[in-house]
Amino acid sequence: MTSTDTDINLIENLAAKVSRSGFNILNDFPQIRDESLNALKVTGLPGNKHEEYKYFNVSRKIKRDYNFPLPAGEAVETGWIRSRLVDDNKGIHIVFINGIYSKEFSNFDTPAEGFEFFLPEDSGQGIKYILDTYAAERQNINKDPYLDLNRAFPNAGYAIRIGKDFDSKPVYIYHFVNSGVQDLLINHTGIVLVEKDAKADLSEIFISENEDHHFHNHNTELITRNGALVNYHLIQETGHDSVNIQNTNIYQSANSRANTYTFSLSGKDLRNNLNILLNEEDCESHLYGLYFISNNDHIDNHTTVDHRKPHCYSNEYYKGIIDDKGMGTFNGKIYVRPNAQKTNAFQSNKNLVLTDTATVNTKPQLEIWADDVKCSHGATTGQIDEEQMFYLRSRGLSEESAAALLLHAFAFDIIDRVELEHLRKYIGSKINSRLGYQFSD
Amino acid sequence: MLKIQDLKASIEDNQILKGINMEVKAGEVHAIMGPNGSGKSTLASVLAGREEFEVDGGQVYFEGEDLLELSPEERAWKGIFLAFQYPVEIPGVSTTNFLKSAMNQIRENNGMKPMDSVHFLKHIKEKMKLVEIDQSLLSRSLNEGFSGGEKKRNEIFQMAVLEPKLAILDETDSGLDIDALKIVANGVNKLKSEDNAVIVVTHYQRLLNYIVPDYVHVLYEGRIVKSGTKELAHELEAKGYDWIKEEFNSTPA
Ligand SMILES: Nc1ncnc2c1ncn2[C@@H]1O[C@H](COP(=O)(O)OP(=O)(O)OP(=O)(O)O)[C@@H](O)[C@H]1O
Ligand SMILES: [Mg+2]
Repeated sequence: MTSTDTDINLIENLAAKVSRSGFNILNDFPQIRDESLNALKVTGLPGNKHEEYKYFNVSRKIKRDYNFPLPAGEAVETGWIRSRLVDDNKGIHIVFINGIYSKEFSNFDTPAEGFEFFLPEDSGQGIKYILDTYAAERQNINKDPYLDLNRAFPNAGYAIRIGKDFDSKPVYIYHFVNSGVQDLLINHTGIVLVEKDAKADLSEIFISENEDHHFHNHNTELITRNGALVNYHLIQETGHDSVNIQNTNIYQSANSRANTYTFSLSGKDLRNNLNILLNEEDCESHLYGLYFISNNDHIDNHTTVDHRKPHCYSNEYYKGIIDDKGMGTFNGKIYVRPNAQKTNAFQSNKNLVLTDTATVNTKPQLEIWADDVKCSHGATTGQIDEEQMFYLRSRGLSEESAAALLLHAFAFDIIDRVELEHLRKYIGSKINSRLGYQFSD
Repeated sequence: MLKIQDLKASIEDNQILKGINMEVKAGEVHAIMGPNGSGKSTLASVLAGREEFEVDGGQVYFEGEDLLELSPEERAWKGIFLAFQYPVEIPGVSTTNFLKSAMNQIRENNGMKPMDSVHFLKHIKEKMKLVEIDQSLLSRSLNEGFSGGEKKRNEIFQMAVLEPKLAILDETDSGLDIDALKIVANGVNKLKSEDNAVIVVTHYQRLLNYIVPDYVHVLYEGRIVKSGTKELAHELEAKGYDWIKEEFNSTPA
């Protein structure tokens, strides 16, 4: 792929705007921006010939004259927002609306013990420490054009540091997009540093009520220090004319444990690039995913688990329900590097298609250079089991309620793994109401 | 109660049932015996409404109504219950999970109010005692990792909870130890009344010592080739099926 004239136009347009926006978490890192911009100029945006974007070609869709997030104070309709927050009054809730931090809806003012939160306009030692740590840790592993786009034109962001003395309140970060802003582009970068032996329950929740086109290109960089434990939840419930790309890089140090939970519930074009870097020994990582999409929606999960050091364990389990004309893609890469002996790496992907017009592409990709490893993978795609349906219906359940029960069981196999009760209920009730599930548990 | 007339059914162009005639009246117990592959489970499945089977002839009436027109759940709402020969495993779904909804859908479709949780709990406690089944089994994923006997006992438990008018027990005795057999049979007998009926499919005369049938039918190659009383079961136990097969094969169809 090389860049085309329209790519160059887009890039120049964005460059002109970004210099005016002044909103930029990576301000102090011109080399990251330049590097990304140069890469982007060479590669352009991926079309359908790009191996990694074969099923996710939005490059034409996003060639627009985008608007960047408007500064706070702009009148936005926010009546609906409060009802969409997770019902957890012990949690820290951080709210962005159209890419802009909302003090009004966030409940975080004073720094909690062991918890620091920064916006791009902040300065001082606190944010500098996080960004310096990130700059040192960051590795240019995944050459991804959208990540380059994000890093070349960052226009929103946050940085968080969680220390060992944090009392592990759940942290919810919301990204709302509401109506009224046309052709909005948000290149958001979140940088999270979880310190040695700290524990963090982190959720990023993307919700849009905007039926106008918008493009949310989000990048989360998560650094887990020695012995840290992180549960990272991603929930996507976005509009039917939106493009959402979520890149997540997790850099794991020795003895750390990172569990990711990815729930994709709606969105016209959803793309998740999740990259787990097991950079040191004795790391553990669980990757859970559930996508449940309908209409013409399209979800594309690309995951990479990179075993770079010995004695690490990874387990990936993604399930999908595809309805209507939806399309689901799962691509799971596992790399086991030459010296990553005694690696345990497992992967499984199970899909249910509910209609003749729903499609699934699933592809495991294992590349193993070490010899003393245990790896397995498996993928299935099928329909609701007829035998199970007949059994339940013969007991008196209507066809709809029998299907709801079976889909519920399929989905909750993943949902039940969420440890945070409030969040589990938040996701569970969305799934149940969509299924019309009315059983007692 | 149930009237089967010249019922023919096939699967993938294989005719399995080739003209079944049978009548079951309220209060009766019918036993169906017959060699492996003769069509006993097929008959049971067709009565319960399994859609894989193509009905290509005949009629079935249940309380005067055309049964073949109805979906599996509508048949359950009318009071038909099939205890499966091979109950399916359903990961993530427990018996207690769906039984209350099943029961309330049956009730609602019969103009009754749904049963609330308190009454339902009392109701299932009673039935648990009746078939001596453990709570822990009922809250586990349905049939997943159940022993053969546990699966069968769970089927009878569900029957006891739903109190059907017509229960079809497809080899519920196979896989049960002697004590469990007595418990299950005892459960069936306790639920038996003048208003309901049971069809038991079995290979063994032993079960019929406990659940005493009014009629015994022999199904062979998709037809009922012989009917009699419980003595017929004794005769089959003693002599096997060869004489039936010979008799059948020598008479022109
Ligand atoms: N799904 C199917 N596809 C093809 N053939 C089938 C199917 N189901 C049943 N059959 C065939 O129909 C015939 C009757 O099967 P059925 O299960 O009714 O026998 P049965 O009398 O219950 O036997 P058993 O005593 O072994 O339980 C068998 O030959 C069987 O192979
Ligand atoms: Mg059978």
